[in-house]
Order: sequence, then C-alpha cells, then structure tokens
Amino acid sequence: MAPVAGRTWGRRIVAAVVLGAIVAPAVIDRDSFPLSTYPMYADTRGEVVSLPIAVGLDAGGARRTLSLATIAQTDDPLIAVALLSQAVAGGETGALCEEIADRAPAGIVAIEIADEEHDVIERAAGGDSLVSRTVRARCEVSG
Amino acid sequence: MTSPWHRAGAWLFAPAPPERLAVLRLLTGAFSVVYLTVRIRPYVALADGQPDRFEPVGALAALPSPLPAWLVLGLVASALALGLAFTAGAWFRFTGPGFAVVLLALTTYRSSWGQLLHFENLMVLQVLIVAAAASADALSVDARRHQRLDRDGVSYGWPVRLAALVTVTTYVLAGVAKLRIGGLEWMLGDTLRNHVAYSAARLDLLGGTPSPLARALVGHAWVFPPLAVASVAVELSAPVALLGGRIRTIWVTAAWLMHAGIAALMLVVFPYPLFLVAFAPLFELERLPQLLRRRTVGAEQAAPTG
Repeated sequence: MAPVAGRTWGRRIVAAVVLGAIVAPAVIDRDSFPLSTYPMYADTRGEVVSLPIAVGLDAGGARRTLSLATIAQTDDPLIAVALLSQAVAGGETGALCEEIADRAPAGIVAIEIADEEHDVIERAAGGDSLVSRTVRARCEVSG
Repeated sequence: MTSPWHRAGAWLFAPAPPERLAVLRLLTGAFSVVYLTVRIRPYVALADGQPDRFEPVGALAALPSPLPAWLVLGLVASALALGLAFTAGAWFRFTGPGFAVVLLALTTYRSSWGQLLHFENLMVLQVLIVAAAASADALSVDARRHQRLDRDGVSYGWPVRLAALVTVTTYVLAGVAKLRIGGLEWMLGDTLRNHVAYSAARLDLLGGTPSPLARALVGHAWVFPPLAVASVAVELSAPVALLGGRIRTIWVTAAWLMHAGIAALMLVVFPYPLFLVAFAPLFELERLPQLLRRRTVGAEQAAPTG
C-alpha cells in the first residue's frame, strides 16, 4: 500500500473510532467521563421536588441556612447535593453531620441533615414551599 | 457525481495551513490552563477526599481507592506546567500528549466522587485530539527552534475537522437525551420551568444566591415551552454548523445564547462554550492571528503621535 493511501486509511479509522467512542455511551445508555450521554436536565421534573439539605440550628432552635462551603467545601450546588444524596443513600448522614459541624460558623449550636420536599414554583414566588421534612441526622457543634 | 461518503471524506480531509491547528492548540491550551487556575481550590481539595465517597469512573474505573494526596497535588501542579508548555507549543511531542493524559486523569478523578461534571467533557476531548496531532508546527516555541513543515496540509486540517465533529456530536447527543429521557413532555410541558425553579430552590436552600431572573420568569409559565423547543432545536440542528459560512455563525450564535440563557436563569455555567472555545474548530482559525495583527497595526496607526 502506498504511504499516502495508508495514511488516509489510518486517519479514517482514527476518525471512526473517535466518533464511535463519542456516540457509544448513548447507544449503550451509560453515562461516564469524558464519554457521556449528556443527560443534563434531560429528565422531566415536577413542581414538588425532594432535596437533601443541611441546615444549622442556633441557640433558640431557629434554622439557619449554611453556605455551600460549610456543607461540602465547594461553591457548586451540584456537588453539595451529590454529597448529601450519597450520605442519605449510604446511611452515612451521621458522619457527614459531624463533618459539617466541624466547619459550622459561630452562632450555630447544632446541624441537621434532612430530606425536604418543596414546591419549587411556590418557592420562586416567595411563598411557603415546604411540603414535607424528614430529619436524617442531628448532631451538636462542639466548642 | 460524488457519493456522500466521498464528500464527507473530502470535507474531513481537506488540507489546511498549520496555523489553523496551531490556533486551536493556543485556544484549548490557554482555556484549560486558565480554567484549572480559576478552579484550583476544588482540584486541590480532591487530595482530602473521603475514601467512602470515592466512585471512580471512566479511565479510572478500575482504581480501587482514592489516590494519595501527594499524587493528586502532583497531578494538579503538572497539569498547570504541562498546560503552559502545551499552549506555548514547547517540546510538544512530549508535553502535548503529557498534558492531555494528565488533564484526562485529573478531570476524571474530579468526576469520581458521585457527581459527573459535564462541563469539562468537551474541553478534555478536544485537548486529546489537539495533543495527538502536529499542533505545534506553527505559532509555537518548537516552530521557532526548528522549522518542521514537511507535512501535507491534511495533517493540519483533519484534527480540527474532527474536533468540530466532536463538538457537533455532543450537542446532538444532548438533544437526543432530552427526547429519549424526557420525551415530548420535556419540550411541551412545564419541565424546563420546573428545572429553572428547582435550580433556584436548590441554591436558596443550600446557602447560595438564586438568579433573580429565574424568580421573575418562573411566574410566567408560557415563556418556557418555546425556550425548551428552541433548546432542543439548537442541539439537534448542530450538524448544520459543519456547512460553514453564515449558517454556521447563526448556529454558533444560537448555541451561545442557549448557554448564556442557562447561565442567567440557572446560574449553571458551561465555560467552554460560553468562551466560544468549544465552537472554535468550526471556523477558519488561521485568520485569527491575521485579524489580531491587522487590529494591532490599525490601533497603532490611529494612536496620536508626539
């Protein structure tokens, strides 16, 4: 085979392999990295949504929103939700609660991890959005 | 008359000047280095990852446990150093593939903690393509040291076209995923509005600041089905960008507006397309240095003297 023709065939094979690899996750329906099905926001979503959250409690028992950095040492809500979901699914909310308590800001005396159901449309309108709440873990902040 | 197969081959293997591939190297390399620098804290934090939360994916799927902290920090440091060499086109034969492998390892490792981060995929895929090609034969340290332009133009053209195909394919896959998973309901129902409201609620409940635009718009349900249809139409029509010319520019503008809308409404930022690097392979990039040179000369001539 002439070198140029051989090179052309080589390039064709490489192009086919690359494109095949890009499309493969969609064919086998398996998301990964960096080869992906690109399922971002592809699922249908209702108005009432369940969400794992972590909140702080002050001395008076009032709930205080914690920062993403306190909850999961991140500025990305996706990572914070993934961390909380993993802990809930794996039954490890107690350990995560203690971890968050170590990072709690002044004025917070306890941490709660809970599954909350919210009407997200109501919340966007500024109304009372909480539908249900199940506490998964509660721990004290030491010191 | 030529067959579609031959026309596709002629398009993919059209010759190009070395500057086209070199500019793609500069753009992908510079973007990756800036991205890693800006996001260095989450990457460094990977060194302290909890072993029980480690869920390796992709090329690292066989990894039995998290990497030692020194290795994670070493990967971050070497990614930055190799990224600079990749961008400059210095010792590219080694630093090009080296950077691509380290970037793949690092970003895969970051997605190995229970959450796949889809905004890094295209950056990594395009860096892998550029790294495997003769991308430092122009506009590079290597090219200054020794002229090595004995390759055919196809060597510089087809990696860029392949990168363009990858960009377009990822958009089509995202559109197909919406139809496959969400179905027509995704476009015609309240799904997009609920996604936007969910993103705002998630930020609100987890200590972030939701988009004020989301709050203002969620009350107007009629806005969202047309936006959903437009999003899927943009994604599925991505192949038209391969035709070049005005239709490509219209598609790129539409895709960019889609990402800008996602950022404005959901505060979810896909930096690679927002900074247009994802779309760069769709353009005749060799014109960029000429354009910048012309602008610089024009600015110098327009500047008042004395």
